[in-house]
Amino acid sequence: MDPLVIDKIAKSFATQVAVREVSFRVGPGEIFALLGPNGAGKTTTIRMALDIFKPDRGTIALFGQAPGLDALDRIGYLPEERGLYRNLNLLDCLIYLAGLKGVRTSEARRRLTLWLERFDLATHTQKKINDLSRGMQQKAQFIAALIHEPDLLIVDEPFAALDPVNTRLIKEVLREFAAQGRTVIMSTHQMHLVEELAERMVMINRGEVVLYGTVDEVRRQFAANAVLLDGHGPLAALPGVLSVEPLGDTGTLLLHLDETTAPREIFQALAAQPAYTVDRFAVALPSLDEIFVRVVEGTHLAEEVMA
Amino acid sequence: MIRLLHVAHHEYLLHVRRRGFLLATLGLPLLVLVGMALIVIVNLVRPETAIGYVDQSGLFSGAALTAPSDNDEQAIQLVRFADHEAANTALATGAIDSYVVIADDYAATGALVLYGAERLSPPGQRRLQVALNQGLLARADLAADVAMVALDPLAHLESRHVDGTPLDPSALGQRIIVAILGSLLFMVTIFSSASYLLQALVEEKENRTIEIITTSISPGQLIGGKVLGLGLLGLTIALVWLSGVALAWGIGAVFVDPLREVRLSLGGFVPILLFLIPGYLLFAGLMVAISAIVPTAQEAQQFAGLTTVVAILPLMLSVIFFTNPDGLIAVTLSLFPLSAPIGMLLRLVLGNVPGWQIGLSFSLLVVSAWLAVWMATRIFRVGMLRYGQRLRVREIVRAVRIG
Repeated sequence: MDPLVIDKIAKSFATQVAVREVSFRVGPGEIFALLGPNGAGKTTTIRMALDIFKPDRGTIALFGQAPGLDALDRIGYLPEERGLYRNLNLLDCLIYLAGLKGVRTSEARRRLTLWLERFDLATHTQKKINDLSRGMQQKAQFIAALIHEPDLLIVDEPFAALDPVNTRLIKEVLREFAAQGRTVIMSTHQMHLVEELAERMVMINRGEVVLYGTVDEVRRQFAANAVLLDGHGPLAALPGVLSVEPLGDTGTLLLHLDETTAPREIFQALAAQPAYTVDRFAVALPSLDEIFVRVVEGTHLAEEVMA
Repeated sequence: MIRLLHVAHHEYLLHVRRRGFLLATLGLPLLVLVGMALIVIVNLVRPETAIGYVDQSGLFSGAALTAPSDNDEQAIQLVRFADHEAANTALATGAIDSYVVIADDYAATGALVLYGAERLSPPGQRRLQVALNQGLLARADLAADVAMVALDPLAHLESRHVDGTPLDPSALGQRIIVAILGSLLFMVTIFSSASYLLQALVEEKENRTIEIITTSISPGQLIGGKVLGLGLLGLTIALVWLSGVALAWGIGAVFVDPLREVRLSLGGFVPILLFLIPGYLLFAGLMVAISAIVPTAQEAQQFAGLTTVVAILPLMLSVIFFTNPDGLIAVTLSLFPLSAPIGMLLRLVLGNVPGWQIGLSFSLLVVSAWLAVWMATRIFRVGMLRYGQRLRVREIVRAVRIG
């Protein structure tokens, strides 16, 4: 059963439309990316999925049922607006939050011992939250989101304020989580991490879905007809190649193809050149970062043209 | 229910452990105990066993000095001396504690001098005063019974209702004490709990924990847990204060006669319990709504202050309640839900309130409390995530209507 199915939801605040018509589905055991520029409606969508706001229109199903406390118990949430009890010590704060999710104090203590050790917070349990660094607070908040072992983890900007070591740690935990058959929905602006972690994605802009599918599909959708080539030896002219562009001094070549030539045909032509040895051959796909900018700027451009 | 109790437990312990709470809660009883100790110390000053006098005026020569009724005064002997020397000798041997010389022109000038002490104890002073009164009245050559009446003209003052039935003036005083104590306890319980509730919710909104909490438990569980935990906190404060006052009173009554004579009727506190729960729920609902509507603790306190002023209006106008508990103002304030808890409490303690008025006041309070909590939960859902923004009236109305 899909952990989350969102169907044509819309939400307005006073005169401002936050979400126009958004639909997507998140399957079990996947890491799913929810992308979009600031103010696109991502957080509002998440809040509706979590039953914090009611949608004006459309339906939401969490584990096959309408959002409610039963379903929410199976969800862990790391909100964009981080919030912990600043005057409580770390251990008391996490035990209280675990209790709100139905975890008994003794069990919470047992689980916290492991998590705090893993997140290098074990020596800070008696410190007040206020006295912890921003990165430590972030890790503490992350622990609070998964202490009750949820089936669906929704994380909003999980890597903000983290150094590379802790970023790697969070990535590791998210991968383990998905490997256990649990689901992760990740909202972030760090596109390289989405490429690295997520299988599928949805991009929302101005309250509407503008991209939806697997990360590979989306990148292919935006790919120019070009291939990346690494190799050595003399390279003879290839039919269907319009131009050859060296990418910096890496030795990699970017081959721009004409509209009628497929990358497969170039590969076959290369194979027919015994003097040239191919080390790497790949379809040249744009990064999600480039796609993000193109989609967002394209929307602005279209609006300017219409105006 | 378990999570509601988890929230209640957390809120109670969180506040009880705060240093500010301990200072505020234990401070007043300690002050009362210290004050009572001072009263006891002052009253423990031993009265004189014997006071001498040298009557140069001849005031006492024709007077028959009767013994005073007060025990302490009775125990003090008045000893006559012919002159200074004799009195001085008695003073030196310890036969008397001090002596007064009544000047020969005392009747005209009131001149008299105390020797051997800076001042007389209060019973000693009263003992001497009664004797001087008797001496002066004896000079007026009044009949003995007239002289007795003149000594204490209000000794047999009787108080009656206008219909002629007897009225006990000390009972009225005691009822006023009960009314004021009851109102104060009520205020402490309700307002401190409601104020802690407001503070807790605004803090959670300000430090952004509310988003985590509302994805874990329902607004009903959250508000219910806080209302319960902080209500118990208010009761704790009231109990500590009540115990402190009772202890101080108990200690004082052992040593101080006037305190021993006051009989407080515990029955007077029963109405407090009747109005306590709906009264607290009404204010709790208002505080929840305020915390959801306004963005900062400062603004929240301003709004909360307004409701508090209305609630304590009966105490501010307590003179009206003491003099005319069945008048228009007293009746109106005892029926209006915000002021009813204290208004009705004052009237119940001070006089006889018709049953229908008690029923109407209680019903209005219960309905208002239910409405306040119901509306607050709806407004809270909408307003809790409005960081830095106040809810507009239109949004509040929409929240109440749709939820």
